[in-house]
Amino acid sequence: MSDKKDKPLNPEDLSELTDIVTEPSAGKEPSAGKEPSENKEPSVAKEQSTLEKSNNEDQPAQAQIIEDTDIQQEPEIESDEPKKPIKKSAVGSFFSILFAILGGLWRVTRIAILVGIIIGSVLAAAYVLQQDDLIRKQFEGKRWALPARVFARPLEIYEGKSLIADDLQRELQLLGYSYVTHLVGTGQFTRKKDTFSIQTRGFKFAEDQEISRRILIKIKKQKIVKLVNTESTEPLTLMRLEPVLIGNFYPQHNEDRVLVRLDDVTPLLAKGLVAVEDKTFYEHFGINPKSIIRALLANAEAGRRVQGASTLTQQLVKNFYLSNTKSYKRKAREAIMAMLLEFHFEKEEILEAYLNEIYLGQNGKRAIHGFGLASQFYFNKPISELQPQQVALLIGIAKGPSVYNPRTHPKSAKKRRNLVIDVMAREGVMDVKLASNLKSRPLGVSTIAPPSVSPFPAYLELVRKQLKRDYKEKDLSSEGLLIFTSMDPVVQIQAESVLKKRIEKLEKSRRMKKDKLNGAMVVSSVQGAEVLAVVGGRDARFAGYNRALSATRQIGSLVKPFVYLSALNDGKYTLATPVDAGPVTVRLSKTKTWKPKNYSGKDIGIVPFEQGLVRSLNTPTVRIGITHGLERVIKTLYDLGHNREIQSNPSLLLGAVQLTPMEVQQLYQTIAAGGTYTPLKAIRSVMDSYGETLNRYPLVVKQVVSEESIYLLTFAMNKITKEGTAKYLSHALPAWKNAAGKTGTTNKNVDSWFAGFTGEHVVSVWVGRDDNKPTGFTGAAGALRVWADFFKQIQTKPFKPKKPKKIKFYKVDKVTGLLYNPVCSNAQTVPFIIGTEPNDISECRPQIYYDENGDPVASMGSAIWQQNPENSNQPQTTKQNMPTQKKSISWSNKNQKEMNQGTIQNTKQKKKPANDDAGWIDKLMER
Amino acid sequence: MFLIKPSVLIGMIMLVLTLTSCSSIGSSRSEVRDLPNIPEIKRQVVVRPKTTAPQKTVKRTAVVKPYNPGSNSQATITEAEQYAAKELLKTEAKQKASVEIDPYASIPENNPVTEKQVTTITGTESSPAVKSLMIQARADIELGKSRSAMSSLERGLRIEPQNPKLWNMLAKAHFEQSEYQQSISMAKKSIRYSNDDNFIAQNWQLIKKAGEKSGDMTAVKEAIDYIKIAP
Repeated sequence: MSDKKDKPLNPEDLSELTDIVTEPSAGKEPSAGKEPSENKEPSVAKEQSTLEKSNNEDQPAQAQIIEDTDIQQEPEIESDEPKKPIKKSAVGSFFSILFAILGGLWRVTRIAILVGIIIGSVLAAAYVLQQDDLIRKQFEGKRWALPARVFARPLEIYEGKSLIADDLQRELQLLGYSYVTHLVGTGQFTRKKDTFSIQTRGFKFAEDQEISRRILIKIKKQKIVKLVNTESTEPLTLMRLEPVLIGNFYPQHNEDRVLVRLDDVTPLLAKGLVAVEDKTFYEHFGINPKSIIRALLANAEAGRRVQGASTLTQQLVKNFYLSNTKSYKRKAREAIMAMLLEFHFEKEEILEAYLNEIYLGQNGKRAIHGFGLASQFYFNKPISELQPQQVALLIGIAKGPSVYNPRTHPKSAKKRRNLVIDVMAREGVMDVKLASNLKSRPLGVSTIAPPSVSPFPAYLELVRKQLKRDYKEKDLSSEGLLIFTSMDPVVQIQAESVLKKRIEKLEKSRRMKKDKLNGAMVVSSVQGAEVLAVVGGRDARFAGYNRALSATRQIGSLVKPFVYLSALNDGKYTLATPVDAGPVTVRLSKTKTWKPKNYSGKDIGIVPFEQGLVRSLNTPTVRIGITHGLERVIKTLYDLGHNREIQSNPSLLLGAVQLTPMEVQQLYQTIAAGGTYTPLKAIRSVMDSYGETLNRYPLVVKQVVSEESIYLLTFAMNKITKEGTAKYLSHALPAWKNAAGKTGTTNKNVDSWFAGFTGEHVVSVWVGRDDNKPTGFTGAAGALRVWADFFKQIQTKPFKPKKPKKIKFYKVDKVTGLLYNPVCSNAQTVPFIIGTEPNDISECRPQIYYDENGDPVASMGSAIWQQNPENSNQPQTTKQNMPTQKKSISWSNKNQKEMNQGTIQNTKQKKKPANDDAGWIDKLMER
Repeated sequence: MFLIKPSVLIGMIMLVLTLTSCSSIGSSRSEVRDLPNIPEIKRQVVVRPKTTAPQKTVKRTAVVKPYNPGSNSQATITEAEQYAAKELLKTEAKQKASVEIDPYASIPENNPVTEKQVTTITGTESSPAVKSLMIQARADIELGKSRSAMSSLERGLRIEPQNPKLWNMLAKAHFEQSEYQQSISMAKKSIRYSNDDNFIAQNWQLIKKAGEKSGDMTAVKEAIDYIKIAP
């Protein structure tokens, strides 16, 4: 017994006890073997019990008792012995046990509580630290995922610049400048007839910056005649306006910010905000217990939430998580975070973060966060240009952007604004007199919300494509890069409008089904190969299929200039070389031949080289292409800037290759630039949000074909616009807007093309149907009209190339290509590369008729223009070249040499007509 | 006439009378009488031309020089001389056929509406705007900011694409950046747009240097060829 008292209570012992009590017969089993402290005794007990068992089964109780003596079993033992004392001690011991249990329990719970507290506080601390970490990460670097901003080219302003007054106004409007009666602040302009007074905003570019200035511009006869800085006496020779923002590449959640610094915004904003939303902002530590209690009471009284109690800090935190659940749990969490925020940051920093973070509206998919962006969104102005009542409106919106949306709920917005003004006046933030004046003013919100997507998706797609080479998508749309492009917004808008209108007109003219006809257009500058505009379809605002970049179409006759260029560049042909325009047969394989025909289907006879291009004839082009070499033509295309592989197939000579309008543009760009290849580019430079240049895309030039051969080619291409397939331009455009270009029509009029250039611009136009059905328009009837419409509108410099030193003009006979003979020649003046010009005089030939027998019958005559191929005026005319007997030209490389030799033979014959039948005239002259 | 007539009549009457009287007298004598001398009346011929025929003066130029037999004892022309004559003919014809024209001469440099105003810019001088950019570029080059300088020069080219000085400065800037191919290409552009021989020569010198630095022997050769022709 005494043993029992000394030993500590072991809960397991108790359970053992209960086992033993309930199952007396189970005493045989040595159930006490579990206790380690009583190992010895149970084993002894075991032996005893087993001994006893084996001896006598009549004494189980005894055995039990013997066993039981080892274990504490007060009640059992007590029951066997005299009962009375047992009862008494049972109650007492019951309570003592109870107390022991309770005491044990208490100790347990004490520990439990302790442990609980420890664990709990550890968890809480961890939680708080986690929140703290989150807050610090978010607010410390104040790193928001910012979109990349894409800008158009800045408008350069200098005396002497060609500029239409209305275009200047358009630019200012795109920049969000207000038209006022007199200038008060930045972002304003006045206009009196063609004199502008502008207060510019200034802008920081990659390498330099433009300061804000007050300038005067006078435009006379479409030119800037006067440019002065009205605030300084220093002359202003050159300046730029800010570039127009044309789009953004948004980060993941369509986030956007226009970051503002507390120092940069009007003090009215900060003070007003504090006065209205959180009067004791500068005093509290994150939460304001007084106001919380006040709010609770008010809400309890009203039975629902009527009063909020959030401090600015709390609002900031709430905004950060954008959670809408109004649970107390959330509130508690916000409170903790608010306090943490206050712990880490200064009041000013918190306020600044608030200014940039608070949710102030919705623009489609884009959430408007921050006062900087809201200012742009509601007023189309930077925040520095807002008037006090406009600032008050923004402050008012902070409480409920959808309820107080000035566009959808103007009345309540105005009411709220005026309330804010009142509060500001009352708190001394605003002058009382001014306040009452401001309340009567209209909201001043721009009626249409700026589009949440860029108005120029086609151009942006090109920008994105070019950026992908250097930037990852993630960096692109989250680092707040500034991308300066070469887009000209005025040109872009004009191009879009021209394409749309003309396509509508074309549709109507043929009574086509509506919306079937479509088109694409690319505009670039000759100097620098900068893309000024991209029009992806007739509906330019819609970010859909960008035909300018993605629609590969057969180019048809657009390929011809490159065939002729290739031939000219190698010096084998001149513009006056006579070429056979009669039927041609090309051998494609042992069994297949190809017989392309001219548009008219007629046999035109022999034409000068350039006429094949000017009149867009098929047969001489094919002849020249094959004779010169298909591979050489392809090489020329690659040299001029084509990037994709071209299949070597004779049909490419007539344009059976598929190119996008952008690819066509690159090829014509190189021609327009005098044979200088510069890859077309949309981006000038990329700057990071700190103002450092990340990437500059400099001008690179490479002369790929001789400038002389380009001069010859463009001479012919200019003729196309005067007497060739594009002669519509000669009366559609004024004479001084000299241009050069090429029409293109594909089989069955499926595609209508025109690509051409002036001295300043290169433009390619495609008109066609997305379903590839015939349009019914040739290049001249369709795309050319769009081209002409565009050039009627824009300012451009005429096509006026400088004559290279190696070029000389000669009068040559139209038919023979030799020096003209005053007696009988039809002369034309043609440029030649020095060294390729003819040295022989064209000689007059009698008119030769062939009678029924095929014998020549001579009669005196003069040189005649060949309408009738049978009358030839060429000394080298032999029966071989007669249209009736045509050899088929094989284009495989094997036979090429033979063909070359063939042509060389013919030219040799030109010079020595001694064997000629009609040489008797010569002999006469020789006397 | 009327005065003559009566006198003629009277004359004739008197003649008849005399004759009849003579014959009556003379009939007795059968003598052969001499007829009297009747003076002839000469009619005056007045030449009045009906039309005035135009004076035709036919200019006859010698196609071939008149053959002077005294200078040459030979009766025939040699093959060589014939050929030489033909060649002479050809060169003359070629000279006649060559035309010093510029088909684009009639086209103005700019919109003629704007051109009507007097501009301070002469043919070869850069405009003030471009000049200010060149100054800026030069300053940047001094400071070693070649990239910045290139930006300014490219900006200048957008205003005056054919200004040879801009191209030349760009060529030099690329040379400083060891971008020799670009330097050569741009120096060639400068040559294309320049009329100043000195300036052209400077450009060729730059091309030669750039060619040597980059191992572009064709460029070096071209430069040397030019320098030989026009030192």
